Amino acid sequence: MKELHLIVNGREHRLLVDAGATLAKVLREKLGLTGTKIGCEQGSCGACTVLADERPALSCLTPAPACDGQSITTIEGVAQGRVLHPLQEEMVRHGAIQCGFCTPGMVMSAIAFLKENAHPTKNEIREAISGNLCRCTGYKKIIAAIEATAIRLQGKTTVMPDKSGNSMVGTAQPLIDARKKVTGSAKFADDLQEKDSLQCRFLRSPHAHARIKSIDKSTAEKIAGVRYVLTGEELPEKFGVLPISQDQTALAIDKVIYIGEIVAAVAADSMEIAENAVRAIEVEYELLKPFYTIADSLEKVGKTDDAIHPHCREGANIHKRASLRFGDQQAGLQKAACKIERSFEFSGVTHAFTEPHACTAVCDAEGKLTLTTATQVPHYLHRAVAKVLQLPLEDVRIIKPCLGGGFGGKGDPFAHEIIAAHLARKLARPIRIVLSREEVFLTNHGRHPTEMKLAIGTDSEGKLSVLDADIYIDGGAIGSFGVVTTYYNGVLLQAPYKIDNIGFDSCRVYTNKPPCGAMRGHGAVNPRFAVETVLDELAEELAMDPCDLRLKNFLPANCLTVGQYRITSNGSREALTAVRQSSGWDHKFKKLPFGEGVGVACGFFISGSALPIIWNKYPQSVVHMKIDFDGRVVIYSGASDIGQGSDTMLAMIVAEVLGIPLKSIHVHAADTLFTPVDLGSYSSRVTFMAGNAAKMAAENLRADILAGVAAETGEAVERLDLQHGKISSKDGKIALDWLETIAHATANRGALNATGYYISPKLGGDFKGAGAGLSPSYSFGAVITQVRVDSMTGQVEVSDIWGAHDLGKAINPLAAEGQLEGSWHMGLGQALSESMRFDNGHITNANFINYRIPTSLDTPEIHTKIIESIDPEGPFGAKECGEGALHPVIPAVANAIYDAVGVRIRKLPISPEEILTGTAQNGGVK
Amino acid sequence: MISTVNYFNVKTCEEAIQLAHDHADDFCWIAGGTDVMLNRQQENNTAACLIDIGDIGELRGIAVHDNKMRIGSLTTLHDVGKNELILQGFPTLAQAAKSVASPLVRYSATIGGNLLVENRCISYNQSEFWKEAVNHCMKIGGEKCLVTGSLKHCFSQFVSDTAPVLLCLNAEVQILDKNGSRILPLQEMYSGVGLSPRRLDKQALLTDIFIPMSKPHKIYFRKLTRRKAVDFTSLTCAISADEAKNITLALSGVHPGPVMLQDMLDCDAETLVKRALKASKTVDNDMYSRTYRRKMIGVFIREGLQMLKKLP
Ligand SMILES: Cc1cc2nc3c(=O)[nH]c(=O)nc-3n(C[C@H](O)[C@H](O)[C@H](O)COP(=O)(O)OP(=O)(O)OC[C@H]3O[C@@H](n4cnc5c(N)ncnc54)[C@H](O)[C@@H]3O)c2cc1C
Ligand code: FES
Ligand code: FES
Repeated sequence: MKELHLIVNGREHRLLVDAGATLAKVLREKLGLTGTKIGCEQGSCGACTVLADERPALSCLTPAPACDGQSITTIEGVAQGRVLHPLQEEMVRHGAIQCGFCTPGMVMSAIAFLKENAHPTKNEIREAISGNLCRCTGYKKIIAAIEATAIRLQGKTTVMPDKSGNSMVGTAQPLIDARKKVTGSAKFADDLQEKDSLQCRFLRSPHAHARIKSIDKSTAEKIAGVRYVLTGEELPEKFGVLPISQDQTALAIDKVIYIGEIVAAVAADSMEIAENAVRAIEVEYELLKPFYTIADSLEKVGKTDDAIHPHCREGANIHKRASLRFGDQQAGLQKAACKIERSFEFSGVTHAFTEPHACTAVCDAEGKLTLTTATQVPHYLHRAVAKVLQLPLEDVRIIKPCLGGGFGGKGDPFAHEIIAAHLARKLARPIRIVLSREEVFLTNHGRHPTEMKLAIGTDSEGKLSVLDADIYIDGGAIGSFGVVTTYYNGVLLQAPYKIDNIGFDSCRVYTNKPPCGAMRGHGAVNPRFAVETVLDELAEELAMDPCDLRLKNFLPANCLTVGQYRITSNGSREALTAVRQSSGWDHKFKKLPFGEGVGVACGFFISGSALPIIWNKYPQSVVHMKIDFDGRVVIYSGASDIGQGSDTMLAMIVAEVLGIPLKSIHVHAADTLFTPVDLGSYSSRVTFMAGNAAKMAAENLRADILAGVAAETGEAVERLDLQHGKISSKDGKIALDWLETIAHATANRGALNATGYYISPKLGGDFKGAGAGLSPSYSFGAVITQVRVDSMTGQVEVSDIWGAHDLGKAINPLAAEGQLEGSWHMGLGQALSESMRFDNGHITNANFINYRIPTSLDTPEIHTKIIESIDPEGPFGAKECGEGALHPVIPAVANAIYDAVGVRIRKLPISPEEILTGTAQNGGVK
Repeated sequence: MISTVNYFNVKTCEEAIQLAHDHADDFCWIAGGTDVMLNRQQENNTAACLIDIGDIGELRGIAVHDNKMRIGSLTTLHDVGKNELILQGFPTLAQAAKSVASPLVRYSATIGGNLLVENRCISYNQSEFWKEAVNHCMKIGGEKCLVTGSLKHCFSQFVSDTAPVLLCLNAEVQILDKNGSRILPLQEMYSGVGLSPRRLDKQALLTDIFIPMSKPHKIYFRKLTRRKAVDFTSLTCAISADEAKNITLALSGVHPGPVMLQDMLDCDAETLVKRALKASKTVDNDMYSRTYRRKMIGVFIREGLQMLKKLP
């Protein structure tokens, strides 16, 4: 122990700390200053940045005793009372904050930078924040906020166009929780610090496939401060996000199937004690033959070997096969005037959200359980916890606090969540769990490694006539969303182009690796890459401009695809035309010098899955609203804001319908005790479904208010008008402000309630597999990128991304742009630098140093264009913008590389080595 | 989880040397701590006692004296990167400093710590969970190198980015231990041995770095990484040429120590590349393959020679 004297945000502290404690831990755990975040504990993400004697310091790498006597400023010390620092204001105003987990570190780092450099260039700003990883924003708006701050601090004023008009929908609004996030007061799952809680750590499997022969926990149990050592047999009930894939237990039972699977859990008085106890548990394993690759798992399992699961198919480790055929592809390909068949290989990638998984479980004296956790799907988790713990559904409450990014990675019920819940009940003590960054990688659920063959044929004019795909995906050890992924890989090939002869076979295998699941752009990202790069080849073969080829083949609006997807609004054409123009495509394609090139690609995505995961007649989203005497409207929605801004979207829709300002609205979301069911943040469904439900609820409330006022005043409803928070009658006799309106509306009956819900229309054909990929609406988009390839090293630098995305209607353009920019940024990572690397089932880069998500310096200029096609069924015309934009960016980079150096890319991530091999083969000419 | 029993903040070199002597059995110096803490997080560094030298004011600062530039070992990379004297005299040193990690790391990271940064390897820079599962490599007490299977040699990479430039500048280092102070050429501080890459007594302090100002040098510098920030090097190459056209080539990232070769500017590039490849024991322990990194050694050397020839 060390005595420590710290001045933190001007306040003096004398503390006794462990000599090995980091400053980050002391600030968070001892002083409760949880604004400082921990994302990696290796100095590689910047979330923990504070100022120590005015200089930035990574508090996760700073030993607390090294700060003795120092003055520390954390994010909590930046604002003066409620007056924000100019940078904080600009971050809020520019929409530079999405999930907000990187925000505190970003603010600290930028404040210090602006003190050193009052007149920074954009590139200097990029450089200055290059140690602060942001996974949500693509950095563009952060850089803009810092630029604006610099200008403001020079005494000049910056003007943001004032977009507050009469209507709310369509105006740029900072997220309603942005001020909380930028001041460090927003509470994320690990910030709760429930009193008297126990810490829980896990013993994880060091083997990819092994039988558990014995577990000896006796030594661990005897360690002082250890409260419980949990092993698998206590929680035998299986779970999984899909009803058809209940193939996981909370802890391994009898055997382990991937490195990192939880074998035992220790609840103890402190993290250190728990950790020591974990190491004292002895497990004896008998090794089984492991299956690491798709090829391994397609092979018949030997007689003396064990399949990964008992339900594996065909005597091999096959999980699921899917196939759909419309027409005869072989005949079609034979007839095609021009055809190309290629093979592709994709590495697995992971979400790499900045906030590690964390949760706190509390069980009250009545035995009721509250689990506060970083989840995208409170509803499915609610069911899974009740199922595994064998509790009545009514005894389980799930709360999603602020969430530091999900991207699909927090979209399953997780073992650690169920363990926390179980231990909290068992021990009647709050249980805290936070995963290390390595554990986040071991938990994975990222994009499936994929191998595929794709053939596309056209007629002599370049009309696409046939497409055939053969796809294998590596699911890792459990099912997760995998059955859906297996379908999506194939069915989502049927747009955005019209192809009537189309077929696919897809197959998901289990392997002894951390599970794969849903990740932004679910199931369609890799096949989209294949299609778009083959189209580029076809265009060349046909001597057509790749943009023209695409324009020629787009599906129109209001049509059915061959698999009976109902396409309503469709902005493909506008999107491609927009980027073609803004990028200067026609002057650049095939015209840039060797080493430079442009590439184009398009994409589309579902705007919410039309079929719920659990088949019942409950609507996909329900919203309740309440208004009481104080005039405040409370929205209750189960929708999970995971940083994308769905709470703000709900508030804006309601504000629009009721004609009241955002500040009169309170959103209470994602708390299964109070909020009616919304299925969760996945499949890009929230704006469409929860947005529609909120709109309906608001309209009902509006009608009820008008009816109440009519009843009180004796005026006919038709003659009353509710606008700008005021009610007036046509003849002007009645003029009520908001509080008066509410007083009238609540007279003799009290607070008003309203309900709205959303159910997808019945869609699709009635063949097997017809349900996969059905959506009430689809988004469309196009991307052009420009690259520079170093022909000596094979290194690729993307200098510009021009992206356009048809999202129907941007309810909040600021947030919508943020989603698009974040998607393009994430796609760039998969294209160029990200890959889950394995060695005998071990991830070798389970950290942010070697799992390389693009930094601000690796993110090019992003030129964002929103296309509004006004969807007939979306709320105010809106459809998705959170995922679909990602698809085209990766093939656009690959196609640009071809334009630059004449090398075709068929493997991700793009490797400089392969580019060099390619240029060596083509003799260094395009 | 490792526990630190003792943490000392010292203000003077004498105090530091005395404490080191008292805790000789199990201690480690900590300067900026960016490498020490990373290795403690991964349980590669388990010293019971940390002696924090970060506050020794006399070891900070940059000045020119007697035709030599002195850089205190505790000068941060941030300060090295923007120091006027360095930007004027040795801009590639500033460039190398700025290529390390990220701006945030560089606020704390010191140049001394950078010269003494622990070697890295894909099977060493992992959590204890990971290493235990693969039976620890020889650098952390196991029997063999898990990358090559060798029972004799550890091939962990030397990764300092400032070292190649300083080697090209004929830098010297001043070492202080309880027997006093001595100055030696920088390259003598490195053993080239993966298990114990430094030829430096554990209780010795690196106090200063001296760079002769006399000979004007032209220097080429390039670092191979996928991202423009945060990544450790996969190959760092510096080549200097003096007035007499003598060149010094120094590499890091491809060998357990720095690779250093001398030649003439008009040498046959291919011969120099061959010599460099021969001297580099590069193995597949990096995010980039051995083949690619070796290819890049050639690319950087050829590019460097060409650039140096073109410079006035
Ligand atoms: C995310 C991240 C990325 C990184 N990227 C790079 C990179 O690209 N290139 C690179 O080279 N490094 C990199 N590093 C490692 C490290 O940050 C730098 O090498 C840094 O310069 C080390 O300096 P320090 O002062 O923090 O050293 P410390 O961690 O304090 O010390 C490093 C070693 O040197 C010893 N030591 C330090 N000073 C003295 C002294 N004066 N006398 C005797 N022994 C001493 C210590 O005992 C320790 O063994 C990275 C680190 C992180 C966290
Ligand atoms: S938590 Fe400190 S840098 Fe990531
Ligand atoms: S807002 Fe930056 S990581 Fe989410």
